[in-house]
Amino acid sequence: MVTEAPAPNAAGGAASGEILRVSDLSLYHLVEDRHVLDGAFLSVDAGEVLGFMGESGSGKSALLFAIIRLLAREVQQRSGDLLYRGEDLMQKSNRQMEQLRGLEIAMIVPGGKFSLNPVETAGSQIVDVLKSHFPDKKKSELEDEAIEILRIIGIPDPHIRFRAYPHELSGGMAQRILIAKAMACAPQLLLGDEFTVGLDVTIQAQVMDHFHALLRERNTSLILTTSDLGIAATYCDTIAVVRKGQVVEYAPVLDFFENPQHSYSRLLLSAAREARAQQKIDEARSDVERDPSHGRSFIHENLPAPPDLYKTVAPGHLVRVEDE
Amino acid sequence: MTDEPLLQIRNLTKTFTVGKDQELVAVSNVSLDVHAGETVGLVGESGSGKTTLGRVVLRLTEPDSGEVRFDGVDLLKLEGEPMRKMRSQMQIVYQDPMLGFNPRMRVRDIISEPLRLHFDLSRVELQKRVQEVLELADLDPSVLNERPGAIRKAQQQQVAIARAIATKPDFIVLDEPTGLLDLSVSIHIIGILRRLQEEQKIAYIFISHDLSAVRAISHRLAIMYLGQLVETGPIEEVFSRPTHPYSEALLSSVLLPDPRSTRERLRLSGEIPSPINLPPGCPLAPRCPLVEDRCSSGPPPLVTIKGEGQEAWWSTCFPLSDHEDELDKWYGTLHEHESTETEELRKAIAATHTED
Repeated sequence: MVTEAPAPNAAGGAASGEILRVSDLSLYHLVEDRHVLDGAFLSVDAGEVLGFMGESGSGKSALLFAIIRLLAREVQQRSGDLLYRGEDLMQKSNRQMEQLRGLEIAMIVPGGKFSLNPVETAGSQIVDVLKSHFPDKKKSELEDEAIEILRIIGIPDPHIRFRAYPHELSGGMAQRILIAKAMACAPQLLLGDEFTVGLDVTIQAQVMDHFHALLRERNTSLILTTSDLGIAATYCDTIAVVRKGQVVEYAPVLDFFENPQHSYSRLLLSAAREARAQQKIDEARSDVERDPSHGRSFIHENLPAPPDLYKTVAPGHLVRVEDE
Repeated sequence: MTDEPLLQIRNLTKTFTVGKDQELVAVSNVSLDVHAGETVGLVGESGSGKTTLGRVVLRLTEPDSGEVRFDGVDLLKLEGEPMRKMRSQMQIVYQDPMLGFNPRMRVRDIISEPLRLHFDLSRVELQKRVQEVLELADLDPSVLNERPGAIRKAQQQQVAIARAIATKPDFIVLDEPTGLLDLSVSIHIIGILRRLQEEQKIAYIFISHDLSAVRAISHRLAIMYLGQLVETGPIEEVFSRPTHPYSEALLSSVLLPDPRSTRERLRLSGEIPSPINLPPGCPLAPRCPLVEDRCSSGPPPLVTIKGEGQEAWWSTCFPLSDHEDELDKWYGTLHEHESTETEELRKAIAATHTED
C-alpha cells in the first residue's frame, strides 16, 4: 500500500535557477533596542543547501522567521527585499502567505518532542499539515500519505509510530517527525533552525544523512542555521557567516573552509584546522570517493551585496570589509 | 611523581531502582585510572552513565559496590570530617554553572566560599587568592561585584572554573563544561582548562558530547555504552583506530569540519535501548553489525590491545581487535550494500576468512 509522495506544488514547474533572493534585510528589535539583522543578503538556487553560520544572538534564526514572515511582534523589519521565485514576499497578503507556508516554504524547528503537540499523535500532526493544504482529500487518503512520509523520512515501523504520542518517542525520532511535518507537502524551500542541536552524534548523523539524501533526490533547497562546523562542511554547498547581524563572509563551502578571509571566519576555523590535521590518519582507511554532488558548486556571481561594503575574493566568495 | 595513579576506580557499580522493582544499571562494573595531570575524556551517548560515573567518583552519589582510591586513600570508607577535608582536593564543574551558584551571592563570594570552608585565611590572604584564581580563569576583576545572573554564560563558566580551582585541587570532574557555549567561546574555555592543567598539574575527567572538544583536551579516551566502559586507550590511537564496534560507530559519526572528507560511517541499527533490565551478554549485541552467538551468551571479554598503566589500551569486544584486516574489507562491504542485513554482513566477513 504505497502511495506516491505528494506531488510538487502547483506554483512552479521544474525547479531550477534561483529560488530565493534576499537583499538588504534589516530587522530591528524594539524592546532590546538593537539591530537583529543589518543589511543581510542571500541567494539560494534549487537544490542548494545554504548554511547560515553564527553564534547565538547573531540574528541567524530571525532571518528564517523573516523569510517565512513569522517575525515576533517586537521585531520590526526596517528594510529588505525578499524575492521567492521572483515574487515579492512582502507584497503577499496574510492569506497568501498561509497558502505558501508548508506548501512551498516550510520550517523545521528544533526541540524534538517539546516542539510537538503533546496530546496529539505524531501521525495526526502530519495529517493536520496535509489537511490544511489538501482539504478535499479523504481522511484515509491523508493517513496513508502521512505514513508514507514517515517511511520516506526513515522512521522504522511507520504504522506504529503514526499512532505514537510525542512522549513515547525518543529525541531523534521526535526530530524526524518534525522534519516529516515540514516535508509533508514537498515544499521547494526548507528553513532549518539548528534542528539537530541536542541529538547525540550518532543520531544526528543518522538523521542528517537520510535527510540530506532526500533533499538531493527532490532537488529541495535548504537554508540551515548552524553553529556546527562539521554540519556546515558535510551538508552545505554554500556558507554565509553572520556576526552581530551582518553577513561577514559568503562563499562556496570549499572556498570557505580552505580560504577563509574574514578574521571572524578564521577564528571559527582555527579549531577546525587542528581537527583536520589529525584526521589524515583517520582517512587512511577509506579510499571511497565522496558523493560528487556535494562538491557541486553553486556559484552566485551576482549576490545582492553592496559593493562598497563587500570585496569579491573569488567568484561567489564575498567578504565584508573590516575596519582596521 | 610516582607511577601510582591519582585516582583508581575499581569495579564500580551503581544501580537505581525504577518504579517498583525494575533495575536501572547506570554504571556497571567500571574500572578506570586517572593519573596526576592527565585528562581522561569520557564519552558516550545520552544515558550511557557518564555523569553518574563522575558523580559517584566524587561521592556525590553513593555507589552500590566497587572501590575508589584517591591519592592512595579508599574514598568510599571515608566519612565525616576526613571526607569533607578530602573534598578540597576534588571539584566539579557543571554544564550549566548557574545550577551550582546561589543567584543572590556576588561573584566574589562565590569564588571565596570554598576557601572560607576549607582554609582559615585572613581577609587579605583571601582577597589575594581570589585575585589569583580570577587571573588564572582569565576573568576581568570587574565581574567580582556582579551577581552571576548578570554576566555572560561564558563568564559564568569561568567563574565556576575559578571556584573549582580556588582550593588547589588535584582532580576536577568537568561535566560538559562547554555544552551550552558557542564555538568561539568554547575554544576559549578549553584553552583556559588546558593552561591550568599544564601550570597546576590538575587531573581532569572531561565528560562531553562534543568529541572534537574531547580530542582537543584529553590524553586518554574512555568510551561508555549502557553503563559499561567498552574501550579505553590513548586518545589519538583510539580516535584513529578504535577497536570496539561501538567506539567505531560513535567516533565515525562525528562530522568533520572538512568539506573534502571522505570518511565512511559505521552505522548501528536503531537507537540506544533502555538501560532497564538489560539482558546478560554484551549490551551492544542487539545493535551490532558484527554480532556472533558468543556475544549474547556471557559477559563481554576484556581484550588488551597493547600497553600498560597510563598507556593501556583495552576493549571489551572480540571481533575488531581480533580481525583488523577484515574491518577494511567490511567497510567496503558496508559501502556497497548500505541496507544489508546483519546476516549478510556476517556472511561477507566469513567469506573473507575462507579466502585467506
